[in-house]
Amino acid sequence: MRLREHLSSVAIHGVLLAWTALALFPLGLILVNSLKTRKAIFNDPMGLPIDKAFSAKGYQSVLSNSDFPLFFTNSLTITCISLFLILLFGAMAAHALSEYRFRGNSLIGIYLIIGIMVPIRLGTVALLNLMVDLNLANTLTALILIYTAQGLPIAIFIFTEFLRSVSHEIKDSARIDGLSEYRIFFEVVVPLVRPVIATVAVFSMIPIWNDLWFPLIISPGEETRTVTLGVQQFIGQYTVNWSAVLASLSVAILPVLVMYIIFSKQLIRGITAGAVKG
Amino acid sequence: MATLELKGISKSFGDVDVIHNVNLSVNDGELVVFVGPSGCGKSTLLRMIAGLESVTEGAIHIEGQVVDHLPPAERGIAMVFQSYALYPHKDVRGNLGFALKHAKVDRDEIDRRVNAAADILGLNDLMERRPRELSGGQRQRVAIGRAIVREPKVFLFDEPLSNLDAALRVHMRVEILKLHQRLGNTMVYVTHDQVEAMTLADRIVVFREGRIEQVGTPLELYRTPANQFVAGFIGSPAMNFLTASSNNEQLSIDGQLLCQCPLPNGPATVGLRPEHLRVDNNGAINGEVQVFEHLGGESFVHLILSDGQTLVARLDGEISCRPGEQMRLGIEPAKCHVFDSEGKRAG
Repeated sequence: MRLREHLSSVAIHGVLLAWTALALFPLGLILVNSLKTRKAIFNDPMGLPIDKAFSAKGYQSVLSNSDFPLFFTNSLTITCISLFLILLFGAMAAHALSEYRFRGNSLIGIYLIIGIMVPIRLGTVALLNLMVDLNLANTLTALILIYTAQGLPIAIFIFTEFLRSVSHEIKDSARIDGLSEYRIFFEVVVPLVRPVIATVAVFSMIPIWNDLWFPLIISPGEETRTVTLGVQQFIGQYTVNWSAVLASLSVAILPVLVMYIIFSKQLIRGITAGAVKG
Repeated sequence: MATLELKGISKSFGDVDVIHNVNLSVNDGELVVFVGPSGCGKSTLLRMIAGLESVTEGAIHIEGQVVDHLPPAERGIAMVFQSYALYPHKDVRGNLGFALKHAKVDRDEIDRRVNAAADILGLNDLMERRPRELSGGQRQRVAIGRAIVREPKVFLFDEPLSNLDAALRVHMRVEILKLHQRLGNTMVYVTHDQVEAMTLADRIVVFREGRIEQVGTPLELYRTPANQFVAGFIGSPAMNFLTASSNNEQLSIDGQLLCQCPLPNGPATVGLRPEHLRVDNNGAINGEVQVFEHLGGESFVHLILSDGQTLVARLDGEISCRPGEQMRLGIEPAKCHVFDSEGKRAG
């Protein structure tokens, strides 16, 4: 019996390790090759950046010879503001849906969530027309609005499920303590669902940070480029500056990584909250 | 004078009427317990007094003022919930002072009141702890402390002891009683546990299906229940109800005279409390022992009568018998409760 348990544990860990290696391999490849000369990248893609193969030229051209810091700021601005709006409106809508009894409650709930099933990219042309009409083409505002709309359905969906589990008695107790409905939301409900907020934040952040589609179509201007779009400048029609592409991608991973580390502890709690709540 | 008055209160959720024309007045400093089976509307009524549910019809007066239109915080009430409803992200001090902080009460005054409440409830050593680091009883004390700090006119308790284990429940029951004696506030306490109701209440209000069945002191309800429902609800173990036949104002079971009562001839229901039955060779009730439970100081005997009716008797701990034996029990005629065909008290 002991032996069998031991074996199954080894097997499980084997599968998990293999999965981890598979997931991390492309990332590792990007990091390693971003530190190599162009020649070394093609001669020996798997090789480590040592001796002659090492070159920090990619990072140099990214950080000094390009507008990369601007792109980076753009990406960060768009992601942070969209994320804030998604979390704020998503949680508030979900709170209303789960807390108040009113006519059409479930209908409105379905209406808000149905966006999960309709890819927002189907509406790209209409969105572009709209943004042009609003004089918002080539602005960060346009992207922020679109990403907020894109992130809301899934955020509301996740929030609604979790906010339903917040005890009604705590909210009633806050009402008796004299808190307004807004204060109940911000001072009682939000602190209780922090792990869920982290979960939604991570799920919403990554697609925004990585998106190429909308920056390319809505805001391709020099001033409003995002990192993913900015990387394209190293990809020419005839030559590609691979060191620079890989270096910029490596740098672009950083903020996602930092945010993930910040949220991860809460994230795991959020994912397992439903399962292990005693 | 913090009196509470309910005048013609009704409540409907959509087409469903949950509370029907309830009239009740609670005197200053009185501890009134609402008791009834689950779903009888007692908690809903409490939430209406608190202002958490709207009133469909009628008016609620606190200290003689109509409070129907006031938000909960302005009614001068404080409520203790079954699940404690503490704020998990605040420590005990934060929980106790939360309402006052929001009411913009002076910081020194908050400290004074919080410390006073902590003294009353023995929470001084726990002030920096979070709710999850407290035991059930401690959490409930914090919840009560949160109510005390607000210095309300009326305390509302919504099944505050239901989440505690049996031993702790008895302990907290005594604490609440002491608290009431010490503070002297008007309190309304909701429970489905008739033992809690009997031990705590100055007066008990028995509810069934959104209507008041009877209002009275615990002993009034025990001695003269207004109907069969109240009789069965108050007292533990529950009252035995036997079908007897009434003939010339004399009630008998199996041809044995039990008591006298001015009822028309025919069948009637007699209620016998288990603790009033005693072994009596000349008694009116004869049956076969089905189960015998010995608890040390007392014992419970479950009898089956010859006509198939069953009954429980609480007897002295000295008595012992075996299943299958015959046993004859008697009761003083004055302790028989007789109910007419509609379940109303007849004598």
